[in-house]
Amino acid sequence: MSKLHSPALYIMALALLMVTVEVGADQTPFPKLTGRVVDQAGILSESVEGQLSAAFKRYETQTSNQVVVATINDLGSKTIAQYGYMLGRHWGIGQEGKNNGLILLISKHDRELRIEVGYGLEGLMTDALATSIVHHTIVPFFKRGDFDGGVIAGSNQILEVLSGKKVQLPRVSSRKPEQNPLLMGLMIFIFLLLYWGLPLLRIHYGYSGSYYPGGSLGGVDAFDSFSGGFSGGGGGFGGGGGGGSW
Amino acid sequence: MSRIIAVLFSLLLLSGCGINNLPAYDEQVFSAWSQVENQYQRRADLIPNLVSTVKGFAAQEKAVLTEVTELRASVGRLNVDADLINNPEMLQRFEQGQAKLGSALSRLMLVSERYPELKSNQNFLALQSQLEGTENRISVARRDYILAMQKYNTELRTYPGKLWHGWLYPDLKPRENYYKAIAEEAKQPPKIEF
Repeated sequence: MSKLHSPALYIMALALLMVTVEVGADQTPFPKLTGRVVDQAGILSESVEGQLSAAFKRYETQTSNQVVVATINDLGSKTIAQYGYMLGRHWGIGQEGKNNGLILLISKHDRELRIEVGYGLEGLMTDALATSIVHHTIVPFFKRGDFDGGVIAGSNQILEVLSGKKVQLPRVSSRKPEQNPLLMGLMIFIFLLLYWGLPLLRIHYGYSGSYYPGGSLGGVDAFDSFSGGFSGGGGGFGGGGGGGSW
Repeated sequence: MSRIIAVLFSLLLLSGCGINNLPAYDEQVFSAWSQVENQYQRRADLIPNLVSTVKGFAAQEKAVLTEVTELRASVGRLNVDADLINNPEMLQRFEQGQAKLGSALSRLMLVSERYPELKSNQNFLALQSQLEGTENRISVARRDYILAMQKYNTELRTYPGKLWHGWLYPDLKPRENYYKAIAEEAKQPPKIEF
């Protein structure tokens, strides 16, 4: 029995091998894209992460531009410019075809940061502007050890530059923002409803819209921010942007 | 029966990928190269403005200023040849010219460090970050070009691409000469110190 099967198995194994080699070709240890704020280095407070994610999400719904903040522990053997565009391509930040992604990348141990700009946003966020935001807005905060403040101020300016108009980001406050228990309960309820309800809807009524779309999910805020269901749209990066160190 | 299906399915998986790979990868090599040329052009476009800005504050640095201007002109003349991508020797000369221009530019930026007024000039600061960004884009584009060639060469020499090559695309040639011409330089990218 097993003898008879062997040629088929061999070819199958070979075919599978080819597929896995193809997939595993470019494996670099980048952090996983878990949301719009990936805080691998653990330098941002949770409330700031939430505020930023919400602001970036709102911004993407309006413009389809994807903005992401990433903090990492160290760059390994790469320069921050190399790491930045490779990470951008790896995650595919920005929509495919528009390449309208932007990453604010911070490396904790190297004490370096960079605004990495996708092809499609290079016209709005020029290298000179990116460098100026890093040096004049973010670095002063970072020098005092205030990562939250620097990232908030920097993101604020990034969104302003990208949209040509003011996009209000909440100020950082020392106290935790109060949470309304009733509102929280309602959000969890909506979340559960969507979580269980949407797939059912799809099965029963042939709901064929994309269930896990790249990034924006219409107006369904709770779903996205709870599940971290955010993914890059497949945008490209070519090394645009600017950086500095603190 | 299930065995036959398995064999057929596997053969499909093996050969299904590949028939269009070679011409597609060939096309990618060309577009990757045009991106490299774009970025070189972008750098060349920055130079006149940069030179005139530096001249305003540091006119006595004539040597490096004229060197940059002349190298830009000589590389520009090489670029006129549209057949660059099909001529490895020309490509190598072009790459060497660009590398020289890159190191002359980094010397110019180094010299600029000595002039505090220049260093605080807004126009210069903007140009500096633009140049830095352009150098970065050049290295990204060159790396992409090298990777595209690598992919193309590998496809040409390995199964099943090798089969398709002999069968359908005998006129496509390996590009290792070009690969050598550009990859040698890439190992030691010109570094810009600010």
